[in-house]
Amino acid sequence: MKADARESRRFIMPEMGALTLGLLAALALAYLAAPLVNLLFVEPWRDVPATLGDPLAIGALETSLESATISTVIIALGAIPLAYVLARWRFPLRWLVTLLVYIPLVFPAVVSGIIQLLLYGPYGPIGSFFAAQGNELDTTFTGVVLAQTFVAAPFAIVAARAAFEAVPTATEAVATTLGASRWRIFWTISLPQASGGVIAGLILTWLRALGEFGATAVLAYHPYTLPVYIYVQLTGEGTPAALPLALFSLAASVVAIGLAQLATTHSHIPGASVPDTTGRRP
Amino acid sequence: MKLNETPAAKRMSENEIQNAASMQGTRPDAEGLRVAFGLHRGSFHLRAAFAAPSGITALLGPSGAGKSLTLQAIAGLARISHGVISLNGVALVDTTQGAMVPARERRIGYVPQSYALFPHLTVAQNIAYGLPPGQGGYHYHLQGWLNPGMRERRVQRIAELLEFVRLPGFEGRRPAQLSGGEAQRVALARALAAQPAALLMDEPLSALDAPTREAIRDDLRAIITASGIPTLLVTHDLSEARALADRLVALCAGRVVAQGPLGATLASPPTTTAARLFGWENILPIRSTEPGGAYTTRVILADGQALILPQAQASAANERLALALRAERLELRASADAEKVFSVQKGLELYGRVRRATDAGAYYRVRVALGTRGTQESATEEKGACVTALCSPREWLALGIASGAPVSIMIPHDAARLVIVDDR
Repeated sequence: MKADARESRRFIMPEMGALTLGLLAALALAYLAAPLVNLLFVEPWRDVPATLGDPLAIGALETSLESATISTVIIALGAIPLAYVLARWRFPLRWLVTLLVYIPLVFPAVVSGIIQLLLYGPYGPIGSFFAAQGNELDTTFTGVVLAQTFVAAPFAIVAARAAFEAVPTATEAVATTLGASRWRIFWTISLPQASGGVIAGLILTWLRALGEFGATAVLAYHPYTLPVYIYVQLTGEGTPAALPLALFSLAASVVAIGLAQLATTHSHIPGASVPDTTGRRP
Repeated sequence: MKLNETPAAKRMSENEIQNAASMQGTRPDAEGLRVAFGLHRGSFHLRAAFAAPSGITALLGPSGAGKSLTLQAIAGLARISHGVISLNGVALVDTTQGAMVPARERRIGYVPQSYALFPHLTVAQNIAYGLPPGQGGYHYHLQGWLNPGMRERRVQRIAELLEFVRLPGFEGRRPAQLSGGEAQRVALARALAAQPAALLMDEPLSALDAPTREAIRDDLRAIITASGIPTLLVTHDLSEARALADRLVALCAGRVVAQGPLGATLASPPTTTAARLFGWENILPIRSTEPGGAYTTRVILADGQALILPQAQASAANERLALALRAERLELRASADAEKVFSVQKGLELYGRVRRATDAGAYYRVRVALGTRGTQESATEEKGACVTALCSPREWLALGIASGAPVSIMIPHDAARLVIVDDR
C-alpha cells in the first residue's frame, strides 16, 4: 500500500499533446491579459479623482448605465419570446429568421449605425415622422437606446435560444398532459429551467450595450455615452485624458462578467433529474 | 423502421375507421381506451388498433415498433393522420367527425421514460403542478392567499399521494436527490394528482438498474391496481409485461400483431414476429400442411418429419406457415428410450442429434439438429433446421448424453403452434 502511494505521488511527465494544449492556452491568456496588466502600470492614477469630478464624464457614465439598462429591458421583453419561438416552434422560413437575428452580430457596428440612421434619421421613413413632431430620434437618448438595442439583441437571443433548447421537451409534454396551457408552461416550466442561460445572456447583452461605440457614434453622437466620450477625449486631449475613463468601463465589465458566471453555474442543469437511462429507445 | 407494404396498404381503410367509430356508438359505456388510428412520421407508418380496458395493458414491441409514438398520439402530443381514439366511450380524436380534444383537456396521465420531473421544483411542487384548482393546483398562490383552507387541502392531498406511492415525507426533496425508483414514483404521483381517466407509462422500468427493477415491479403493479385507473404501459421487455400487465397488445413495425388477455395471448401467437416477441424461441420452416380431421393439422417439416397439431388450419391459402415451439417447454429423451406409442399419446415428438449444449447457469441451452432417426444422420448436421431446448441442469445431467447423441424431443400440445410467416 505504501509503495502504491509513493508511486502516485511521483511526478509524471505529461504527454506531448497535453503540453502543447497547455502552452497554446497560456499564450492565449497572456495575449488577452497583457493590455489589461499594462493598463495598471501606465494608468495615471493621480488623475482619477479629478476625472470623477468631471461633470461631462459623470454624465457620460450615467447615460451609458441608463441606456444600457433600458436597452436590456427592451431586449428581454422581445428576445426571450423570440428565442423560445426559435427553439421550440417549427415554421416556414425559420432559417431566415435565424439569419436576421445574426445580422447585427456580423455587421460592423458602424454599418449597423448607418442602416439605422437611414431609418430613424431626420429623412428616414420613421425618423421623419417623429422629427415632424419635434422629437428627433437621432442625436437623442432615444437614439442611443435604439443603437444599443439593435447591436446587443443577438447576444440575448442566441444565449436564450440555446438555453431553451436544452430544456427537455418531455417536461413540457408532461405539463401539457397535466392540463397546463402553453402560457403557463412557458412561465412555470420552460423559463425557470432556462433561467441560467437567459440571465447570463442578458448580462452579456447589458455589457455589449454599455460598450457600444460604432452604431451609437453614427446614430446618436450626443448625448455622450461613456465609449463616445472616451473617444472624444482620446482624439481631443490624448490618452492621459481617456485612460481614467477606461477604468470605469473596466470595473463595470468585471462586475457584470462575475454575475454572468454566477448565473450560469447556479442554474438548474437541464436533465439533472433524469436518472441514467440504458440508452434504449422504444 | 421500414415496412414492406404497398402504399395502398399503408392507409387504414375507411371501413376500419367506420368500424371503430361504430364500436364506440354501440358501446357508449366502453371503459378504458380504444384506439384505431394511423400516423405517419417520415417513412414510418404506424397503424394501431386495440383496446386497453380497465386494468393494466402492456404495449409490447421491439425497438422502433412505434410504441412511444402510440402513447404520444393517445396523450395528444403527436397528431394522428386518421382514425379514432376514445376514452370511456368519448372520442378524444375522431378524424371522420373532425373532432379533436387538445392534450391538456384529455385527462390522460403521462409518465415518460425519463420521468421528466421538473428539476427546479420540489417533490411537493412537482405533484401540486397537476392538482385540480380546487385542491390547490394552478393559481394556488392567488387562491391560497384568498382562501386559507386551500393551503391545508393542498398539503394534505400531496401527503396522501406520496403515501399512496409509498414515499411519505418526501415533500421537500429535489428531483436531483431522488433515486431512479423514487423519481419514477414521484412522476406517478404527479400524474395521479391530476385525477386522470387513463394512465400512460413509457418503459416504466427501463431507466432502473436490474435489482431495483425487480424490487419495484410488484410495488408499481400494486400502486397502479389500487388507483383503479386503466393503464397502458409500453415495454420492450417480455418479462416486464408478464410481471405487470393483465392484457397484452403486441406491436411490431407499426402494426398490432396480437392482443388480448396476457396468458391467452402469449400462448397463441398468430405470426412469426409475435412468436419471437412472446419468447417462442424456435421457428421451424415447414414443407406442407394437410388437414388431419376437424380439429387437427398434419404438419410436415422441411426434413420430412411429420407432426399432428391439435389446431385447425385456419390460414388462407396464400399465407406461408411455420411451426413455433417453446424452448422452455420441450423435453429431451435419449433416443433409445423413446417409445413411439407413448409419445403419440402424450404429445408430439421430433428426432435429432444434439449439436451443442451450453451451460447458462440456471439452465442448459441444448441445440438439436433435426433429422429422422436412422436416415440422413450426418447430412442434416450443419445445414438442417435446429431446435433449441432449455433443460434444467438436473434433467440434462440425468440424460447423460454428449454432443452427437441421437435424442427425441417431446413437445407438449400447448408448446407447439402453427404461425403465419410475416417476416424473413
